[in-house]
Order: sequence, then C-alpha cells, then structure tokens
Amino acid sequence: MAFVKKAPPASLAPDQEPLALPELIRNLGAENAGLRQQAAHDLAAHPETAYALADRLPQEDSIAVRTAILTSLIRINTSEAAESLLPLLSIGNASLRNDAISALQQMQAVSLPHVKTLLNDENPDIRIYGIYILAAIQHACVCTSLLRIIETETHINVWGAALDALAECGTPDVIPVIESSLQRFDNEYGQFAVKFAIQRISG
Amino acid sequence: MNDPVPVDSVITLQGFRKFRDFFYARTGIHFDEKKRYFVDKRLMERMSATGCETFNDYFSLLRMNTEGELQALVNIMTTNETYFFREEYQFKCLVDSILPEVIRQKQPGDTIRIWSIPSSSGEEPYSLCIFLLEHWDKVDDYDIELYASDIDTDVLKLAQQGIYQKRALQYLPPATVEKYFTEVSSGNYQIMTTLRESVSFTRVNLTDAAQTRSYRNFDIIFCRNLLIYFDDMSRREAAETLYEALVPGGFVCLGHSESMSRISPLFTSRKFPDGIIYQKPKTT
Repeated sequence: MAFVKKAPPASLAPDQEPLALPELIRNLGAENAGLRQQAAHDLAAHPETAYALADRLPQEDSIAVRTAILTSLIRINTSEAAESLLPLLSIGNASLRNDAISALQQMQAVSLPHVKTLLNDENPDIRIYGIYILAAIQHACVCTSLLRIIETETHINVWGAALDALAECGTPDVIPVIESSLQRFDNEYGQFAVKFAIQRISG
Repeated sequence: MNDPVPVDSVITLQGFRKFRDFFYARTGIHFDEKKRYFVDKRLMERMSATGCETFNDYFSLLRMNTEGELQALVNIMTTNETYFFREEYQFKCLVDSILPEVIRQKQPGDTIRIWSIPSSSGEEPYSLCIFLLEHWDKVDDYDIELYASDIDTDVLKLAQQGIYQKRALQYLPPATVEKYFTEVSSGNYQIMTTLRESVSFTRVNLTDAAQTRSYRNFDIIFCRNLLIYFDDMSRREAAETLYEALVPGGFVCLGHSESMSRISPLFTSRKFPDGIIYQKPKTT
C-alpha cells in the first residue's frame, strides 16, 4: 500500500517568549531570512514601528519577508502605516509598487487622507495610483472625489482612470459632468471612455 | 397571485455587466453572460433579503459592503455541495503534471506529503487516495502521507466514519464504487477500512498560527473553496500559512473560482494543461 499514516502533527506552543522591541528591530535586518520574517510578523504588535517596517522594504530581497512586512503594516492599519508606504509608489520596482498599492487598498479608510495627497501630486502616474487606491475604498466620499477629478484633471490618462472608476460607483446624476468633461479630451479614446462610463452608469 | 417579475425588468444587461466586473475585481470570480440567470436569481434573493427595491440601490449597498453584504453574496454565489471527484481536472493535473515535478526531486521510497484542508467530511482526501491508486502508476514507489484537516470536529467525525450517500458517489465509475465502498445500509456506502486508515484527520484552524506551526514540509496542498469565505486580511494570512507549510517548489491547488494572484504575491502561477496551480518558488 502506498499510503503511510503518521501521527498527526501536534499544535505547538510558541517556542519562546516574544522578543523585546529592540531585538525585533535588530532582527528585521538580520542575515537569516527566517529571523527577518519572524521579526516582521511580530512587529505587527508594535504600531510605532510602521516606518521601520516600510523602510526595510526596498532593500528586502526575500518575497516572504516582504509579504510579512506588508501584512504587518496592514494589520497595524494606522495613518502612519499608510503614510510609510507612500514613498514606494515612486520607486522603479513595479512589483513592490503594486504590493504597496494593494496594501493601501486593504487599509481602506486609513488610506483616505493620504490618497488626497497622491491625487495632488505633480506626477500623473502617482495621481493614477491614487485613483486605484481611492476606487477600492468603501466610503461615501469616493464618488464625489472621482467626480472632482473628472471635472478638473488635465491629463487624459488620469482623467480616464477616474472615469473608469466612476463607471462603477456613479449614479445617473453625474452623467452631465462626464459629458461636459469630454470637451477637454475630445478624441477617439475620450469618446470611448465617456460612452463606456455612461453605459455602465445608466445600466 | 401576481406573476413573478421578469428578471430583465429588475437587472438590465448593463447592470449585469457592471456587477460582473465589480464582482470579478473584488473576488476573482468571473461569470459570463451564459450564467446570467444563475447570477440574477441570487442577486434578486439578496435584494429581497436586504430590502433593496432596485438593483442600483442594492449595488450601492454592495459596493459599500454594508453589514458585510459582499461576503453574504459571495456565500450564495459559491455554495457547492461536496462529492467524490469534485473538480476532477485538478486530480488529473496532480497525476499528469504536479507529481512528475515533485518526484524529480525525490528517490523511490521517499515520502510525498499531501495536505487536504478543509477536508470537510472526507470526500476530497478519499478522492485523492482513490485517484492516485487508480491513475498514478508510481503510487507504490513512494510513501504518501496524506493529512486532512478541518476546523469542524463534527465533519471530521463523519470523515473518519467514511459513510456517504449514493449522491456523493455519483461521479465515480461504478467499478470504482464496487472496489472501494461497501453498502452498509440502503443508499449508504462506507469507504474501505484500508483507505480510512490511510488518512490522518486532524482539527486545524488555518488562521491560528499555533495550530499550523507544526504543519511543514508538504509537497502539495489542496485548499479548495476555503479562502473565498475569508476576509482580505485572513486570506492574506492564510496564504502565508500555506506558503510556510510547503517545501520550496511545493504546490497549492485552490478552487476553480479562487486566484492566489489576487491574494498574495508569494506564489508563482503555473499553467498546466489541466489547470492553474500555484507554486512556492524553489528559491526563497
């Protein structure tokens, strides 16, 4: 018979008492990835370490440690934890940038004040990331904020991202604003984006 | 008695598409237009339960996730009964694609560790046993340790008894039923003792680190149709637990409506002829 029955693994009590904060911070930079991962996990109990956790991310080469850090930041879920991730939106590492966007989306309302900062950034890419985060937040102000972007945005890609997001949450009363914004981007893409959004909202 | 309201008058095609895109973005579950009746029926059920008179009212409520409505909808959209050889294509993928990779790192006589969680009342782990015995010609060359876990001790008791109604066996070939089951009472079949004794059933809460810390070095994990019921945070933590439980290069099989790529960046998607499976990178 091919199947071998072994005794079930037992539940294990924690190996040791939780480490003190200075040691956890030290372990976050340890050579051993397992130690770094455990430290990242345990630091979720210390909200004041949000910046230390986020600062580690750009140099962290282990995906398991990186994921543990982001999970801890989501669990900490304070304004500082959200703010600590914002610099990652400007870095060249697309994978880490997307992970940061995803974490900010999961932080929900805590991210909201920081999204407003992103939406005012001079870099259109950052404004688009701000829209991605905004669109995932379950809050009554989201549609109003998207509508304001559609009214005022000058960059077609940012406007298009906002329009796409508004197509999900908008109600028929926003249609005149959408139609009016087409004057600024009256080209093939703009016409398609407006038509699609209006169809969705009218649906 | 009034005629039932036609679905079209409640949820328009545009409304359906808007919902479909929203639901896909939030859950990774895609419904094509052929599933419209199935989807509309459940949407209308939830509209009625939440007191929404129009689809737009309901969609707003859903989008804001008021009182956990998204999860309530997920639950009725995904509820499935369990039965033997459910999502059989994954067992085929196991034999044709996953195990050949796993044994490339092993010698005959080595151990292959498989974890089925949630095991429910045992249909999945016993299906794995039967499928391997019937379809994997190297099954006797390795020691296969099969662990099956669930949070619910009642279903674990049922799993250990291994008695099933005929309905649960409907997708098994009659010869397979004949070979591995005995009819113990009218319409009830018990799986053979040897197979019942081949699986280690354990109670495990996947989100409890103390309970899962000893579950390590698995080559393959079947975790189907569980993560869909978790919230985002629990899903993320469960993905980390599965990652820790696997050997480097180990595989995790999710349900057909679940996507690890939407949950965690830890795994690599592997597209095999019989399905998409998630792999822990060989170098971590």
